Amino acid sequence: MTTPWVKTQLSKPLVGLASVALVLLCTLFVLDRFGRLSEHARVTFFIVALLLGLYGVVRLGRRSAALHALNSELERRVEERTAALAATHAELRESKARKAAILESSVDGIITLDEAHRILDFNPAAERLFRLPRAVALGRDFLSLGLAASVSPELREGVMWALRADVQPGRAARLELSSVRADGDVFPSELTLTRVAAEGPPRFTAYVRDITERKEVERMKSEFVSVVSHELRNPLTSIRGSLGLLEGGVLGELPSPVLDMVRIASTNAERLIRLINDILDLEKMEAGKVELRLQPVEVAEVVEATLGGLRGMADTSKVELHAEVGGTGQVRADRDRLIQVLTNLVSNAIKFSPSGGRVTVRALSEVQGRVRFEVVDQGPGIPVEKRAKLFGRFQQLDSPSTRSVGGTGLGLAISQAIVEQHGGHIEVQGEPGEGATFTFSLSAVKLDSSSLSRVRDESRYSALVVTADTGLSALLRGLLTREGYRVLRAGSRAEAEKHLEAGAPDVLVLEARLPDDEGLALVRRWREEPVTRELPVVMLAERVPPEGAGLPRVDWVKRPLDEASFLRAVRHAIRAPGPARVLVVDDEAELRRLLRSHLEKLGAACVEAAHGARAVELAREAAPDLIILDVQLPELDGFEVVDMLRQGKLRGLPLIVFTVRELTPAELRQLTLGTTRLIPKGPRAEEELLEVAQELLGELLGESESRRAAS
Amino acid sequence: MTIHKVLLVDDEEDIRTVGHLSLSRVGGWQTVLAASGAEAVSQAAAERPDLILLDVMMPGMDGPTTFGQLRAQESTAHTPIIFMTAKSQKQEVASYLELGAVGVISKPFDPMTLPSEIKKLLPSS
Repeated sequence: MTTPWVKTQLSKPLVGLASVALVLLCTLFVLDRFGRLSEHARVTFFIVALLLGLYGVVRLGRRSAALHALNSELERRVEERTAALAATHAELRESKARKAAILESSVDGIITLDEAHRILDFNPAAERLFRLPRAVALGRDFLSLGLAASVSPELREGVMWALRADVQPGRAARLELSSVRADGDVFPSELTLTRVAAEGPPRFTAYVRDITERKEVERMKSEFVSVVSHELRNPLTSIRGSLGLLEGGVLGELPSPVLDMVRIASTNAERLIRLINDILDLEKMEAGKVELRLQPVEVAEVVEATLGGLRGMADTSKVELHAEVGGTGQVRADRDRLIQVLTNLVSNAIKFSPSGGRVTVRALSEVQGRVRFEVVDQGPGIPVEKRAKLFGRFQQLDSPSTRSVGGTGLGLAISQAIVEQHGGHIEVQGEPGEGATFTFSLSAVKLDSSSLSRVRDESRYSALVVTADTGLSALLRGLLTREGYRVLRAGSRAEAEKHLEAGAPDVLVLEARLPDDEGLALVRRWREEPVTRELPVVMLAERVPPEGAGLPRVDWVKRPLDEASFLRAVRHAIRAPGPARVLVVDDEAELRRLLRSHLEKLGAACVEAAHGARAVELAREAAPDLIILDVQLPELDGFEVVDMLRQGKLRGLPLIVFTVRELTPAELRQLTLGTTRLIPKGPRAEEELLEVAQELLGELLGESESRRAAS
Repeated sequence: MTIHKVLLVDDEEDIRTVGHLSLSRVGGWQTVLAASGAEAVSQAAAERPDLILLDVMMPGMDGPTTFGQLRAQESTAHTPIIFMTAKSQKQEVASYLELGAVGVISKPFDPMTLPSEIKKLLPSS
């Protein structure tokens, strides 16, 4: 590019000067020919032309010099670039060699796949793992190797999801499943799938690890814990039992020195039992086998319960217990486990307190929506160098009273594990000589400042069940109470009318045949009365009489009763008329819009909430027939939304939990309203969601569809 | 409810001895013993106890299986049963209650308080 540019820059003024000089010479020649010029003019013309010529020559010289300089600069740059290019090539070669070395020496199978999951590359570890030479593997379908036939459809789906064409490069999916070797041998494997970040058609890398050994170790460890638990506890039952009976004087009074020995044996048997319990507890905790039952827990109540359990110990040690917990509200925690942690910290504090000392439990609200717990003692404090080890296993600080209390040395390790499982961390502060302060914090249960109050919502729908069949009556009461209805019962028309005099319920459940009347006639009669004119009725009958169909606000449920359709009929009888209403709760606006458009196509009306507090508000206002709920939400999360709705009359509402979050069975139980389904967000999840929504809304959709068709 | 007679089922002789002393001397109840699930089923039919204390882990017929047989037998179909277990996981306890046991006592138990623990689990009459 540089050379033509130089030429252009040079030639423009030179061509200009030459043209001017030429024009002057021509003019001189023409004028001279016609004899019009004087000698003086001729000389002047000639000199001007000559000067111009000379000027041109000088400029040309200068430009040549510039050109030369530019040329050498150019050559220097070309040399530099060539060198840089050579270096890059060398680096590339080296990097390629390094990558090849990694591929060659990796113990994990590393396999490159194209967008159709065909194998493009197969490293030596993969050859060993699958017992398949590279040459044979290339071009084969990876899924036929990577996934054994026994792999569940959910996991299969997970693999396909990680290998879809629009997956983000760099985001790895890790799955534990079974793979199959070329000889048909199936092995447990860990599969990590990631998309290669490069231009062109999608390429994926699959890392395959044989986890046979790991699985075996896990199994052995879990089996060991279970065996230890049983094998140690049984002999201890006999030891503790015999000593307890001796000590308790069941077998006659013992002489004092004998009783002392029995007490020593008995105290140590107790200590051994505590130790075994603590070890098992810690093992379970560290293996992630302890499921927390997270729920809103009142801070003041938990602190009081803890201190209540330790008053005896504090009195014996002459230590004063003190609580400061004003206005900290609730935390999200497993109540029993939180009490376990506090009990451990407070009992440690008591052990290390001097006689007449004071132990304070403090709870403070922090700005980041957490509650900080502090347990403060007036003991000797903990030297800085010992703090790091404090939370390890079998760590005990020297204290005159520690041994006598018989600590297992596992309390702090267990407490730390519990707090960590709650997403917190225990720390210790305080200078030696100034006492110790143990601190940890937990998530507070968030409160919405505005319309949403945490006042318990005790509202209930009331149902009057009228049947002479006591078995049926008890069954219906059980079903309805479980769904959150307040149930009134009557065995005859007369009894029912007595209830109705006191006020109409939200729904009447009526058996078609009563001893003193006939259900249908009764409904007709009640329809004349102002109090019961609009009363929704669910009739239970073996068959629907021809004159019964089409009665307004009367639904028929066939006996024998199908529980789900009965509850659905009751719910639908109470609901305000109109098309099916769905509340969609998700913080992703895009997803809400998508679901809304799908649901509206089915004939449902949608309301949307972007956060939990709004969801609770809308659920109460709009009385939806179904809630679709994400779990991770701003303001209140899904758990809190369900907690609040469960208190009131919406607890029987069908719910679809739609989330990317993996839920433990305990969490799922917490996330339950009426009929509740979990649909993990993922490939084709929306399709499944709509199918389930259709199923849960049932005839409500049909009604609105036919209504729309009619209009 | 009032208890007169208790059937204690455990495969370990020492535990039967300790349990027997606790139930009879501390609790003041007539106590009969069985060393296996099969023995428990026949003893229960013959002795008609007011309460059965049933160990969970036993060779041969384990606690839950024995429970099923006791429930299937007419004379013991409604006798209150309490499980005794050396495991104490919450899910395990919940699963026994779901079966229909009136309660679960974890091992090692304290022989001096075992009778009062049992009384706490029974419906008060």
